[in-house]
Amino acid sequence: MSSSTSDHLSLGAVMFPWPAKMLRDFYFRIADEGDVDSVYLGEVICSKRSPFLKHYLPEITDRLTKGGKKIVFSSMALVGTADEVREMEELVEKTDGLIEANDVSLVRLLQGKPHHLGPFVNIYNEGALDFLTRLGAEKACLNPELPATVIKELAQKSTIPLEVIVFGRLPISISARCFDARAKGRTKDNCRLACLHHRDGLTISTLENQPFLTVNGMQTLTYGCGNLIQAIPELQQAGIHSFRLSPQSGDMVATASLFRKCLAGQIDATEASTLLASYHPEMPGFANGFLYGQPGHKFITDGPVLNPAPLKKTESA
Amino acid sequence: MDASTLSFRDTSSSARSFPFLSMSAERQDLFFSLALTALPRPMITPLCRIIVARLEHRVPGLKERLRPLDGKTVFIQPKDLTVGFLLSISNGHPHLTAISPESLSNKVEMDARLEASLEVFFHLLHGESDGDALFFSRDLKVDGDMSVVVALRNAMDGLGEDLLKDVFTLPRPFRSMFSQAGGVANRCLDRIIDPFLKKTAKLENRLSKMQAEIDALRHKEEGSPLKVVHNSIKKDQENNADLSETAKNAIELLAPAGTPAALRSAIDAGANAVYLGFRDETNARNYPGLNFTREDLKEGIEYAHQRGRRVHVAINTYAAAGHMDSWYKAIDTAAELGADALIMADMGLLSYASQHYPHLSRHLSVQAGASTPAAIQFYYEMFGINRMVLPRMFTLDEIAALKEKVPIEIETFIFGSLSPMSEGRCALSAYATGRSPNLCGVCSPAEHVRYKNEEGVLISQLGDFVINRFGKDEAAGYPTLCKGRYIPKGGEASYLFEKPECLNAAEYIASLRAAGVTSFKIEGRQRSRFYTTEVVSCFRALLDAEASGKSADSLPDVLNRLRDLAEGGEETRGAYRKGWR
Repeated sequence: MSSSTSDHLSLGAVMFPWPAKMLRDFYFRIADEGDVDSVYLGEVICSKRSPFLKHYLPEITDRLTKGGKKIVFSSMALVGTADEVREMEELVEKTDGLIEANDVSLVRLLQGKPHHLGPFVNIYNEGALDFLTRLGAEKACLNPELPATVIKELAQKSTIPLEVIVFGRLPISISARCFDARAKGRTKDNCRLACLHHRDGLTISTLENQPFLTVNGMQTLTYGCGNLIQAIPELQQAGIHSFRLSPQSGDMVATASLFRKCLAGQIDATEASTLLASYHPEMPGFANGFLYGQPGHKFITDGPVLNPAPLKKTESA
Repeated sequence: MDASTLSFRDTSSSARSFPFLSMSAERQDLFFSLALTALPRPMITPLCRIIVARLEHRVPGLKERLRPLDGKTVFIQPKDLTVGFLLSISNGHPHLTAISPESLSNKVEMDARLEASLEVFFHLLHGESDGDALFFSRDLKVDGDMSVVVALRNAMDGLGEDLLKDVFTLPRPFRSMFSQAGGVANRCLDRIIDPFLKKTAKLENRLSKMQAEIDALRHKEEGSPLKVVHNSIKKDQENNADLSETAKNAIELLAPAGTPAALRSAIDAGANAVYLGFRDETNARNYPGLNFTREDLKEGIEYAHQRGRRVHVAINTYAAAGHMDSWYKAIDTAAELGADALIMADMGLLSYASQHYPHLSRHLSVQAGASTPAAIQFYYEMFGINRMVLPRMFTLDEIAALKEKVPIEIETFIFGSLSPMSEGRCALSAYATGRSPNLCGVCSPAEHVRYKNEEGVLISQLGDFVINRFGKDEAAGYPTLCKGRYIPKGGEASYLFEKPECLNAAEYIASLRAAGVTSFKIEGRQRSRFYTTEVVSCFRALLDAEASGKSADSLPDVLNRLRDLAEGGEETRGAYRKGWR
C-alpha cells in the first residue's frame, strides 16, 4: 500500500497575515524550489486580509504553474458577513480551477462540481464522508483533532483520497470574534489590522506565564507546532497517502524536502524532528497529542499511534 | 410549640405526634443546625446514620444514582460547625461519618472537599439552590476531583426530591428500626434539649414576626404587575391544556432537561418543550450523572405529552468513524419512543435520520457551525431540516435577514452560557484534556478540573493549565477553556476570548420575535433542577408579559432572579448587540 511514489505532498494555505511582498516571495520560492505536488491558495481566516494575497495573485499562480504545482483555491473557514458571502460566491463563479471548501456554505455552491474539502468542514465518519463525496468532493483534508483510530476507519471506507496535516501549528477553533483585536482592546469592525505583525500568530500564556495557545485573528491554533513526521509510516499503512504542510515563517522549502524523504522512508523520525526544529527556530516545540487521542498539546515520541486501545464504548441508548 | 411536644423519647408513637411533622422546613433546618452545633461529636455519627437510612428508604432511586460513585469519598465541611462529614459511597450506599477536620489529616484519602455554611448545604439538599450559582458567588468552596463533585451533585439533584423533607417522619415498617438506631441519638438530644428549646423559641418568635411583616408587604403588593404574572404562571401550571393550546401560535419556551427530575420541573414551571440527551457521547452534555436512559426518556415523553408539551432529543455530537451504530441506535430509540424532534449536527446522522424517519422533525444543532444563510440553506436542501438552532454569533439584523431567505423555523438562545467560538468547530478542550465536544460530547470535562484555594484566592486549572485566578471577593467561574484569563504576548492579562458571564437576552424578546424567531432556548442541561425551574418560570413570566405588550423592565424582580443564576455573576447580551465581535 505504502508506495512512496504515489504519495502526495501539499502546502496548505498561509493562515497568517503575511504582507503582500512576503507572500509573493514565499510562493515564488515554493514555485521554484519547493518539492510539493500541490499548493492551496487563499485567505482562509479573515476577509480584511484578502488584499495581501490578491495583490500579486496572477504572478503567484503563474509562477506556481510554471513550477509544476497544482493549484487549489481555498475558501474562507467562517463565512460570516454578507460581504464575505458575496466574496465567496464570486470565488466560485470566477475561479477557473479547483476550490477547497472550508465552510459548508461553499459546499452548497460547489455541489455537482469537482471540489476539495478543507480541514474546517467537519468529517468525523463514513456517513458524512459518503454524503459529501456524492456531492462532488474529490479530496478531503481531515480535521486535525481526529485521532489515528478514526483516521484509519475513514481511510478504509473512503472512495476519495484523504489528507492529513502533518506540519505547522494546528487550527483548533474559529470564532466570529477577532482575538487579536480584543488583545488590543478593539472590536473586529474597528481592528485596524491588529494582527499585522504576527508572522506565526500571537502567543497566549496562562496567568502563570506558561505559553498555551496561539491566536491568529479569529482563529486559535496550538502553541506547539504540529509535527506528525514519526507517524507517517503508520498513516501510510492506514491508507493515508496525502500529507499537508501548513506554512510557518521558517524554511518551508527545507521542510518539504524533509517530508518527501520521510514519505519515501529515507530518514529516521528522531533525526527528522531534530532537523525540522532547526528549520523552524521560531517554533517553541512540537505537538502531536491529537493523533494519539491524548491532550493535543502533548508531543508523544514513543509507541505506535494505532495502539489497540479502542474508542470508549457507549452505553445503550 | 411548647417543650412538651418536642419529646424524642417516644419514637414508637405514631408519626403524626412526632414533633418534626408539625415543624416547617425552615424550622427543621434550624433545629438540625442547633443539634449539630451543640451535640457532642461522638453522637453526631449515629444521627447521620439515621438520616441516611431514612433517606435510602424514602428514595428508592438513590442507590442506582450513587453507584457510579462507588469507592469515592467526599469531605463536607459546614463552616459553622467544628465537625465535618465524611461521605463515602460503596455499592450505591452512602456512609456518612462525623469527623473533626484535624483528625482527618493524611489518614483519610478523599477525592473532593466541599465547604459552605450549613444553610447552603440545607438549601442544596432541599433542591432550593443551584450549586453552580453558589460556587460562582463563592458561597460554596470546592477542592479536589471535580468529576466526583459533579457526579455527586447530578446524582442528588437528579432524584428530583427534597432530600431533607420528612427525614424524621417514619413509615410504619421502619419505625421499630429507627427506634433502636435512634435510641442513642435521642438520649443525647434529650440531655441538651432544654437549652435548645429556649434558643429555638426565641428564633421562631423572630421568624414569625418577620413572616408577618412579609405577608403584610405581599398583601400591599397585590394587584401589581408582578403579582399578576405570578398568578398567571400558576394558572398555566394548573391548566396544561391552556398552555399547549396557546403554544401552537405563541412563541415556544424550550428548556434544558439534564435529568428526568429537571424535565418534570421545567414542564411544571411552564416550558412548552424540553430538550435532553442520552447517557452517552451521542449528546453534547455528556457529563457524569446526567442525562436519560431509554426508560427515563420513555417516562419523560409520557410526562410531557400528557401535558401537551414536546420533547426534543439532542444527538448533536459527531459520530466517530467505525462506531456509528451507537449514534444510529440513539436515533432509532428516540424515534421509537415518540420524540418530537431530533437535534443533530453531523451530516452522517442527518442523512440517516432523513432516510429512516422522514416524518420526524430534524433540528440543526448549533454544533453544525452553520454561520450563514447559505450554510443553513444547504442543510435545508440536503436534509430537509425543519428548524435551525442559531449559532450564538448572529446579530438581530442578521436573524431578520435570515428568516427572509430560509423558510424554516428559527430557534435562538435566550439565556445561559455562551461560547465565543463557532460551535462544532472548536477543539480547545481536546487540546488541553484530550476530550472534545465534537467527539466526546464534553467541553473542559470535570475530571481534568482542579481547584486550589490559596489564602482566599481560587485558582482553577484544566489539565496542565491554569485557566483563572479569582480574588477573595470576586465571583468565580467554571474553568471552561475559552472563559479563562490569559496574557497575550506583550499585553495585559484579560478575558481574551470571553468573560465567564451569562447570556440574558430578555430585553430582546420583542425584537427577536419580530425578526421571526419561533423558539427561545435556555442553555444549561448541566445545571441543577433549581436553575431549570427558576429560569423557566422567569422566562414564562417575561414571555407572557411581552405578549401583553410589556417590556422586560416591567419585571425587575424576575430580572434579579435571573442575575442570581448567572455564571460569574455577570450577564451579557451576547452577539445580539453590535460590537460583540
